[in-house]
Amino acid sequence: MKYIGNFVDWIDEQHIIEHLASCQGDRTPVWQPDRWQGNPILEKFTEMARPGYSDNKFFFHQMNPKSREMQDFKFTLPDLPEKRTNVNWWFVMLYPGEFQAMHIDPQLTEVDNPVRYTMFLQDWEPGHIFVYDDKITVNYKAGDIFEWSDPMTVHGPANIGYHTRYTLQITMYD
Amino acid sequence: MKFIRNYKSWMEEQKIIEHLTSCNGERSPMWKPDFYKGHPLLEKFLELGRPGYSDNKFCFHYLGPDSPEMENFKFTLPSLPETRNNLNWWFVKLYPGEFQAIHVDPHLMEVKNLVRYTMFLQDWEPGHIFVYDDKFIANYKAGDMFEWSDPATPHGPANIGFSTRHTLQITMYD
Repeated sequence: MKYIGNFVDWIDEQHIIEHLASCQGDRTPVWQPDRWQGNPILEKFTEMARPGYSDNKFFFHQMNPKSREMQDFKFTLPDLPEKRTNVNWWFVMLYPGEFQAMHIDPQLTEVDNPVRYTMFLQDWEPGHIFVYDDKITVNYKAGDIFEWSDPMTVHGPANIGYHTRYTLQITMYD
Repeated sequence: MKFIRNYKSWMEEQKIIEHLTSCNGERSPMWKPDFYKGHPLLEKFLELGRPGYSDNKFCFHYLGPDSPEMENFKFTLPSLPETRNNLNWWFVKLYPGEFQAIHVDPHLMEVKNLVRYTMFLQDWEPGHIFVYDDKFIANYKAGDMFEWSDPATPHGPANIGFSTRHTLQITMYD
């Protein structure tokens, strides 16, 4: 992962944390077999995950442009170092105990010039975990943005701490 | 954490993995308010954990000397570099999605000459997590044993991978 810069001023100006903390988020199952189809590698991950996750006990929360709780919240994305024709964004809200199982994003190998960013919206706390390959990201500050543009690198976030963990995810491509 | 040595031959001789994979383990709730009493630090963690964990959605699994599934399994602990008058052991079995919230072990601060070991019983897999302070242990091999004898350091394991994660925990003191 490549550190890009700190955007804490953007978080403050746009009142991002105030809004997220006032929302519940969209409850999303960890096991999403429909989403993990159409690509041989995703289908392999579906089969790997089936024994542990297909009973659908586990959920995480997220908010994207279609989320009901985002409809009346107007904000401008931060000014990023790269530009692309298409931009997707979503906030991930992990309540204590929530996670996304390790996965890859091979759909991003099918687009031109993908760039993927994660912005951490709070200072790091013990138990706030982002695993990328065989590393975790720690001791970051609110507003730190990292680029991690290899969608085939296995990754996953978890929250085994005590406060809800908020991040902003941005993918861009031509 | 300090690497001690690899005990894979001990694991194989004692048929540890064969036994653990044949057991369900004992289901232990994540939220154990009775366990978190009697020490100011534990009570602080109890209050930290109440908002996120007191609905008891989460659990993990373990096997200790008193577990019914261990009664007919006779094995000898490995020969360790240190010896003490008192020794406790237990296996932690984390099914996919299970974890223990970040915590400290202040009850171990009150004993003399504490030594604590963790033996990883499988080669590391993505999603098998052990966080100790701001460190993450990856790429270990089955049988690798580490010493980490400061009970005041926040730590916690999690499994956001696809196969059950097995470890052996040993604490010793005078």
